[in-house]
Amino acid sequence: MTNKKEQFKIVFTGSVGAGKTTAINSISEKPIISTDVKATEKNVLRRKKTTTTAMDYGQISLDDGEKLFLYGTPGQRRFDFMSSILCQGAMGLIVLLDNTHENALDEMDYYLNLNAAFLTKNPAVIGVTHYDLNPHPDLTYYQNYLHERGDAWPVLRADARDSNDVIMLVSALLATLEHG
Amino acid sequence: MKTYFFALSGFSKQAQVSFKAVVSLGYRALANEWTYSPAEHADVIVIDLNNATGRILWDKVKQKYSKTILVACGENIENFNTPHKLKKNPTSPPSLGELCQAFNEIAQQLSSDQGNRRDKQQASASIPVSSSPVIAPLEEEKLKPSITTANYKPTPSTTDRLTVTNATVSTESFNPNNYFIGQLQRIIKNNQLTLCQFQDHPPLLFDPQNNNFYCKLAMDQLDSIYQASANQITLKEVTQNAFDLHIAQLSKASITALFWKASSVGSQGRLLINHKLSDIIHLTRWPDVAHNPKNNQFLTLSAFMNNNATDLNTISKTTGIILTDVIEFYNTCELLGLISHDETPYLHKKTIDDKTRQIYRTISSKLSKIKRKHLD
Repeated sequence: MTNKKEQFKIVFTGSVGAGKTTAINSISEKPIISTDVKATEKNVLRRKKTTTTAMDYGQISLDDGEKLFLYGTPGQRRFDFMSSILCQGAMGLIVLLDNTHENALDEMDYYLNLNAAFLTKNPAVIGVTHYDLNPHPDLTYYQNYLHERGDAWPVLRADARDSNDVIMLVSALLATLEHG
Repeated sequence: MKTYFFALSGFSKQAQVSFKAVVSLGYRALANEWTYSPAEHADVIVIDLNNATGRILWDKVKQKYSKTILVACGENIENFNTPHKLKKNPTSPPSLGELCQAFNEIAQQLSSDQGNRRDKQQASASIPVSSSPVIAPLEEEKLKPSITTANYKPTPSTTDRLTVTNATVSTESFNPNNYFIGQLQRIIKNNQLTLCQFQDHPPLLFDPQNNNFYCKLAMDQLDSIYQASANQITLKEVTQNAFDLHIAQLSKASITALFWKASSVGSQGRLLINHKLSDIIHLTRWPDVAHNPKNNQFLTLSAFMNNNATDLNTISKTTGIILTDVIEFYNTCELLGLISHDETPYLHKKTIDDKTRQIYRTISSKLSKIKRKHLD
């Protein structure tokens, strides 16, 4: 009989085009399993040609056969029901927000509300992407907005293409789990 | 945080790889960043004395690089006539703990040598009192106790972390108004396009509205500016046209990243003037630590200090992060206005079982490996 190895999970969610698939791809040890299809929703079409429908899935092998799974939620709103399914048993949530989005703060509000039940017991980290293209709103606006909501999640700017930045987001989540 | 450079001499190729790997693993316990470099640019040359080549090389290297610190590395080096020794058997790299201790002691020595030189330079220059200081001019105050982490005992939550070294925390205090960081605060406060000049260095151009600055040199090459006396730095507001003309050939970087770098290199581990290690403080919100080489430690400190109000020594002991790094983080957060001072300590009781904690460490360690792999 073999011992069942433990598996851990982190979920990446957030606005369309914020870089969820890219972020997972930049740190996953195995090629990610992605369910990209041609986009149909108007708000998605404005930003990119294909988008994730069911989920993205990457993984990192830990010691002794344990695994850390990285899941990405779909960007189109009609697949929002996937979020609660993917979050089951997850250690925490990384919310990626595209800073060039016309209503980036509303997007943050939307994803935090969507995952409100999960976030009553688990932490989140907010990763603001495309900051190089548009430094406004700056991180202070996100933090003030969170403060008004009564949340104190870390807000960090990150480039989803840069594995160091994605590792920083996951590390912030771990730090929050351990010391937050 | 300062970057120091080490070279290896007399090591086999495989031993070099192992040695560099141990240095990488020590990032949590090393008070500074250590980067491998050729001997001619190194602050420290480590020589492997476990083989004949190394023993022959010792005298040659000593002669050629008379101003560089040499470290004798080997098995039977007790009687070797040098203050810097590192035990290592012929078939394996040195132990992580011993290496970190040796490197931290050397960094301390290098830093104090540089500090002495800097103090002499500054003593000869008259430091004018700024007419519009961002931080009110304060009288120099010596911090009374010489705090060390020599007797540091990790709490159960930090037992599997690397041993904290016995580096002594500076008893001098740090007045940002006397350094580049004070000038940088003025630039941010004025919020105007600004040209900054220091001696014959290439100029820095600031666009505070967009949180960018432009310079011919990389941030790591600006240490002399960070440590320069404020009166040696001139600031001049420029028009948009002049600004555009200047920045044409320059590289862009974030002012936030420069702020962290200037604060840490400028302070050199000294606590802000009129602040005490015993002050009860907490972090009001997470700082932007992206692209900071110490962001792993700083993320831990952010999480802890955002949820607990306590003194700097307790923060160091509870998180297992050396006091000089805690001071560096605290100084910068204070200058950024992210610190709140409290009257009574508040420690958030978080119960995490050892197994869960171990899982976090395992994931963290794996992420570090992925990071190093991408850097290579």
